Amino acid sequence: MDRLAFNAAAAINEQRLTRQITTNELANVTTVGFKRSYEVAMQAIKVEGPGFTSRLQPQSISADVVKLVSGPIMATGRDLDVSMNDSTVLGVSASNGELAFTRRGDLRVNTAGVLENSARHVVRGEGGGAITIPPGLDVSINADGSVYAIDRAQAGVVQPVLIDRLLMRDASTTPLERREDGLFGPVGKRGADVVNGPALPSLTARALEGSNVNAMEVMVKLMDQSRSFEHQVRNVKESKTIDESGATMMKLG
Amino acid sequence: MDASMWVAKTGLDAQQTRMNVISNNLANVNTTGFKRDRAVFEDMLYQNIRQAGGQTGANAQAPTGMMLGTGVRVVATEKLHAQGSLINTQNPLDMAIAGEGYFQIAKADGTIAYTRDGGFKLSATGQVVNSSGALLQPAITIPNTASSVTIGRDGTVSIELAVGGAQVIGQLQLARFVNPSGLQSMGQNQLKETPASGAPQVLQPGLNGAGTLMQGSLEASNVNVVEEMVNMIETQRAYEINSKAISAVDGMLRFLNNNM
Repeated sequence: MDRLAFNAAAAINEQRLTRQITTNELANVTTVGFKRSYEVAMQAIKVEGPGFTSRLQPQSISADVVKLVSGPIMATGRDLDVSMNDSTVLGVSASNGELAFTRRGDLRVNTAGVLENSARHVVRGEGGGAITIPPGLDVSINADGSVYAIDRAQAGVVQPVLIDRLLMRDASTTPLERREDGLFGPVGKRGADVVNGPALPSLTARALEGSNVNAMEVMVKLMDQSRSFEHQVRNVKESKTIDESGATMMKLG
Repeated sequence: MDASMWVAKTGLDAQQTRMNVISNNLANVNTTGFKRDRAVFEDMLYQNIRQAGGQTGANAQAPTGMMLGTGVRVVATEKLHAQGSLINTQNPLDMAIAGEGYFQIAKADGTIAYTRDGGFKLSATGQVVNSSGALLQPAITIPNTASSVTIGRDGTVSIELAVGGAQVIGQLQLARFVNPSGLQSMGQNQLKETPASGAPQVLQPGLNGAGTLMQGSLEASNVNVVEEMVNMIETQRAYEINSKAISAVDGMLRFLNNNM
C-alpha cells in the first residue's frame, strides 16, 4: 500500500484529538469561569525508513496553556458571587489538597461553615488555609478580596468584621496549564503558587464571569476541521486508486 | 465512535437540564414566597493524552501536556434567596418576612417544614393554618369573639375583643439557617431541613438576624422574568451550537463511510 495512506491516517488521528478539544469548548459555552486553551499546533515528525524522505507525519503539540481572556460579566446580585478581573486567579484546594487556581467565583458556605465554590473546591485565604465563616453571619466580599462578615444579632451600629482575604494572584506573567480536574496551575509546576504579576489582583463583587468561549470562532474552527478531515479521507481514497491502477498496469496478459 | 460526539452530547444534556430549571422558575413567577434556582455547570474531568515533559524526540520534550476535556455537566441547582417584592393584600393573616427566616409549618407526619409563603388562613376551630390546612408553629388560636387581629413586626399576635379591649394571645417565631441554600425543596412552597442547611435557629422576628414580619402583605416570587428570558435565549443557542457540533461530526463520519 502506498505510504500516502498512512500519512493521511496519521493526520486523521491527530485531528481527532483537536476536534475533541473544540467540541469540549462548545459544550462549555455556558460554564461559569470556563477558559479556553491556546490553539493546538501541529508539528511534523519525520518518519525514518527506507525510501524517499517524504514521510513527515503530523503530531499535535498541545498548547494546553489556559487563555485568561475575560468572559462576559453577568451581574447576579448574590453576595457570594465574585468575578475575577483581568488576569486575576483565585487560589483553591484541589481534591488532593494541592494548591490550584480557578476563575470560578460562585462561592458558597458549606455545611462545615467553610467557603467553597460550586465545584466544591475549598477557597483558600491569604495565609493558605480555608476560610471559615462563623455561623449565622452575613458575608460580603470586597474588590480587593477581603471577606467581611456582619453579625446581625449584634446590638447597636453593626460593624463588619474582616475575616480573611481570598488568595488571589495576578497571572498576567505566569502561563497557566489545565489540570485533570479542570483547575489551573503554573505550567510544569503542579501545586506551586503563581508568582504575582505587576497588576494588583482584584475582583468584581456580586457578579459572575461567563465562559470565554467565542461560539462563532469555535464553530468556524469546527468547520475548518471537518473540511480538513474530508481532505485526508480523499487522500486515502486517492492512494487506493493509485494502488489499484498500479496493480492493473502490472497485470500480465 | 467519535469522542467529540459524546462531548457535544453532554452539552445538550446540560442545556436541557438548565432549560428545565429556567422553565420551572418562569412557571413560578407568581408563586408566593418562591425562590428561584440556578443551574450550576462544571467542566468534567480532563484526560491527559500527552504528559508535560514527556519525550517527543531524542532530545526534545513536550513543553506542556495535552489535556482533552470530556464535556460539561450540571453539578447542582442553587436556590437564590434574594428578597422578593412585597405585595399589599390588606388581609390580616397574610404575612411577609422582610429579611431572613422561614415560617414553621407542622406537617401531618409530625415533622416541621419551612416556608416563605405567609398566606395564612383560619381553620374551622380558629387555628392559624396555611393554604393546605397545615398548622403554623407555634400554634396560634384566634377566638371567635375577636373583632380584629394585629401582628406586630416582632411577631406579637394581639386581638381586639368586642368586650375587654386588646389582648396578646401569642408570639410568632421564625427559623433561620446557617446555609439556606442547603434546604431541600419539597413542593407546595415548603422546604425541608438537611444536613447541608444545618439545624434551624428559632428566633423572635427582628432579633438575632431574623427578619421582621409585615402584616397584610405577601412576598412575591423573586423570579426576574427578563433575566430568565435572557438565560433562556442563551440556553437555546448553546443547545443549537452543540447539536450543530454533533451534526458536523456526523457529516464527517458519513463522508468517511461514503468515500472509503
